[in-house]
Amino acid sequence: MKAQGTRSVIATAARVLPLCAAIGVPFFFVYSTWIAARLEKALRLEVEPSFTGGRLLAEFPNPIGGDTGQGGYTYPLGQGWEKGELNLVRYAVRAPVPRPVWGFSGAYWQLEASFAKAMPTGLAGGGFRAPVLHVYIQIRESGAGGSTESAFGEGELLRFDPDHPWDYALSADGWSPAGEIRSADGSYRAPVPTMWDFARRRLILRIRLENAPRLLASVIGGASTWHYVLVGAYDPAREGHFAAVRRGAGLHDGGGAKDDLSPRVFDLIAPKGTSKSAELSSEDPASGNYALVSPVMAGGPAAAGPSPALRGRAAEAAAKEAAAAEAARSRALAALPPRSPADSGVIGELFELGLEDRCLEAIKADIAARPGDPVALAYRGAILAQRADRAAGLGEKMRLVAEAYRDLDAAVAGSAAAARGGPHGRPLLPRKRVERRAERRFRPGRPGGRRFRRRRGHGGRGEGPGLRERLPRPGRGRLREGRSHGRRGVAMGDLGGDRRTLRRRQARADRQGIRDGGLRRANAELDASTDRGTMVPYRVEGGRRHEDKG
Amino acid sequence: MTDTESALRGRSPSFAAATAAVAVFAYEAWFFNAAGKSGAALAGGLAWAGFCAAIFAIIAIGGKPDPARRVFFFTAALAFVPSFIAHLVETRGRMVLTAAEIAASQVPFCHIAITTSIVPAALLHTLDFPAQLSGIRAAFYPMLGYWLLSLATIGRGWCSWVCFYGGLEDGISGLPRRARMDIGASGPTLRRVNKAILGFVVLAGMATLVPVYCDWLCPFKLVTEYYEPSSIRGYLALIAFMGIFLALVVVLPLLTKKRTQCSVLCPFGATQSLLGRLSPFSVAVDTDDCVSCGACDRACPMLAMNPETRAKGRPESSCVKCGTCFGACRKGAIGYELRLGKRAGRRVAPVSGKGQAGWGRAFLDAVLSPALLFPFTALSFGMIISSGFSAETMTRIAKLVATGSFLVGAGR
Repeated sequence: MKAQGTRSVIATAARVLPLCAAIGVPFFFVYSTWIAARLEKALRLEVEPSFTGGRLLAEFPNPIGGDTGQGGYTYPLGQGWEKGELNLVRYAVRAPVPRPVWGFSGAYWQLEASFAKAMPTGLAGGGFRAPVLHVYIQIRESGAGGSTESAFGEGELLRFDPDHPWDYALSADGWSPAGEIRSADGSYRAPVPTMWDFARRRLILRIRLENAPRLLASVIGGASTWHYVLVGAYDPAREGHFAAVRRGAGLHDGGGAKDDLSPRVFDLIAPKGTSKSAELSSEDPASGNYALVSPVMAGGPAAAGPSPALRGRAAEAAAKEAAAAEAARSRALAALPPRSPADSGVIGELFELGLEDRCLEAIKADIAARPGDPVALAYRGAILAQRADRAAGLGEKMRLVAEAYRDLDAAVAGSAAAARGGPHGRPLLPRKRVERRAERRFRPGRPGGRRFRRRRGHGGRGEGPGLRERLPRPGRGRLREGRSHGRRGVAMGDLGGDRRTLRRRQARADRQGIRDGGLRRANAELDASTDRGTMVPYRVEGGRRHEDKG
Repeated sequence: MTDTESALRGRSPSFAAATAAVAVFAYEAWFFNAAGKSGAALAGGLAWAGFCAAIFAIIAIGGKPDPARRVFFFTAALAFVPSFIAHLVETRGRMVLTAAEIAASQVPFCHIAITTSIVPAALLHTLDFPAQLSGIRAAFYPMLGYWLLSLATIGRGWCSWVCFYGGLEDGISGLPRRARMDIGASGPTLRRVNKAILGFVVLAGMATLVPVYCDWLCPFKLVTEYYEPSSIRGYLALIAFMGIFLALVVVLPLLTKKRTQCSVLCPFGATQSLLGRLSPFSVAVDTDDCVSCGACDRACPMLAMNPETRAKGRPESSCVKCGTCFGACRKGAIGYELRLGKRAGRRVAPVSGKGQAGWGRAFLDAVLSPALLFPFTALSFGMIISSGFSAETMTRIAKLVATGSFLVGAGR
């Protein structure tokens, strides 16, 4: 009966399956876009970066409509320029590709400039209508040997930040398939393949790093570099190929310039905290100084931050902000109703205003008035925890955290006793769990753990405030008889950073022969070199372990 | 009772089932080729849809896939090549891949590259091919979907009904009347070589993150696109794929009447062979009726038939379900079957239905028979995949006749 049922199921499946297949194929194709989108969401692949130009190191978005230079630049009148063709909307620096996998024979470094509007396909039909892109790159952080003048004669009519002299200048345009890179001292010049990606409206520049000077090749590894990225209209008749910008636009010249020294740059990538038009308007016709521009930083932790020349201004702005915040705080403080310093409401308000010292004073007064007030203790714990967050050293951080926990524990205990399961009755983060996590984090083998334990004055065994007492377990971290890699692996795992030492000593012990004396000496030596405290030496005889109390 | 039912009742149930299937297929062909189009594109789409529907009608009513399948398959492959090349010329000005296209991930993703890409994609979440991931049909995710669907439906039938590369070779191998070279005895060795090549390209792809097959071995770059030979390495690759194309796609198929590239070199085919069991359809030999004449062995273009497999009632896993052997078997002992249904060795009925309890039941049986459903599924797959390029080729041909130009885009 059962077999008959199974046969019936199989027979039904055999009928339904081919029908599903037949109907499924056209339906699949109807919904293939939707299905592909679901697959994309589920799999989340990326194309091998060496095909696409390397991993993205830094990306600088630029506002749309920013192709107005000093603020009022207009495009040349000839050749049918369209608005947006000189509008740089994104500049990207990719990590250099040391070993490309397909189609390229040597290391290269890719930079990309995306425009709001792409040039006509095939570079034909547009006359000389094309953007010209100059990228000046500073590689040496010291700035030694760099230049602050344009690499192309009067070129863009710009000066470069003296704190960031450029080492290499790169010139490319949408017209020819090869740009050029040259060093500041003029000793190195090489072509740079230039490619238009019309679908994404971007100009791709690939700087070949093979056979390049050592300084240029040093970008492999993602070192920080500073980039001045300038865009102008293409004019092959001019040095640097930047079309002139005059007060009124001409056939080949842009319009909207404020004076004769107005830069020929329609768009650029300005660092955060600076204004593009302000930078391009910083020329001084009276003294004959060109406008001063600043670079953006790619790679490194402070990517996209302001240049040192602008840091003063940025610091000034930050100071202003801080002063304003302080004034607001003072105003809020003055608005507080007159209450006793020991009032826990005052403590809360002081805490919210960030006035830690005054809050601590209020807490002190409160605790003096009401010893063990859980609210005051909780606020003090919170302040100590915040201070721990800002503290510089690991030891100091841990000390403050331990003190914070002491207060918080007391607050929770006091609150539980007072409210019996009230809102403060149960800690959200049990202390034991935190301790276990902390212990795991700072165990000897983990990075930073050894330093922390050393700073605590000893192996850190049980001395760290709030840390659980760690007792030596017999047999762990010890040299053992025999050459079993599995067992030795366990022992080495306990010792963490001392793997190599242990391995060497294990080998020596193995060579010497495992005798009681040899093993004990090796263990004693090991104990002296690893902060593990006193352990019990042992020997193995007849497959059993004998602890040697002597 | 409607007029259609009355008309159908006058016919045998199998004929009625085939007619109904042809009607559905014709609608499908119109939907995927001509719906929403106008002008020359509509004419091209209708031409291709009509051609596909006619091919299916011949297969469904005649009961045997070949030679109609081969005509469709070869035509689709021939239509693919000029359309694809014309596209490249229109968009790039030439056939070669440029650095810009690679950098912009604009290289069309080909189903053969799935075999080398799928393992790094699964392990490293990285596609080792400079293709777009989604969007157009030739992007990775749509192609992955097609592959998974083919595994679940037609299995290695992809290689004889869908693959536009295999179509070229299938057509060329069908041109000579008889084989001038017999490589039938080498079947097992060639299958092992095929699996070894699959293993090699997968492992090499994983190790280098390079599509090794596409870079060095793919013979079809000669009719699609290839990397610009600007270095010694580039010229070596050019010589390699030209040599492989001539040897395995042209010369050997002409001499042996076998699909040598598909059975020896293609890693996608090897993958389909390995995973072919996921498909519900297979080819089966009725061992009771088989007289071991060996006609199917000689006819099989994939070397999947031999005395051992005949005795087992099932061809080798390299079988591409083309149905060439159905026509070669004088006893009619070979046909499509369902893996879950009848076991090998039993009679495999092509579109039958006579002798059933009632007309309706017989009609239903005929509709659900693998002999009708497999060609429907496989040809639907092939027709839809080829719809873009083939319909466009028809349009281009019309344009060539009318204006003297084959190109329609910017490169004209």
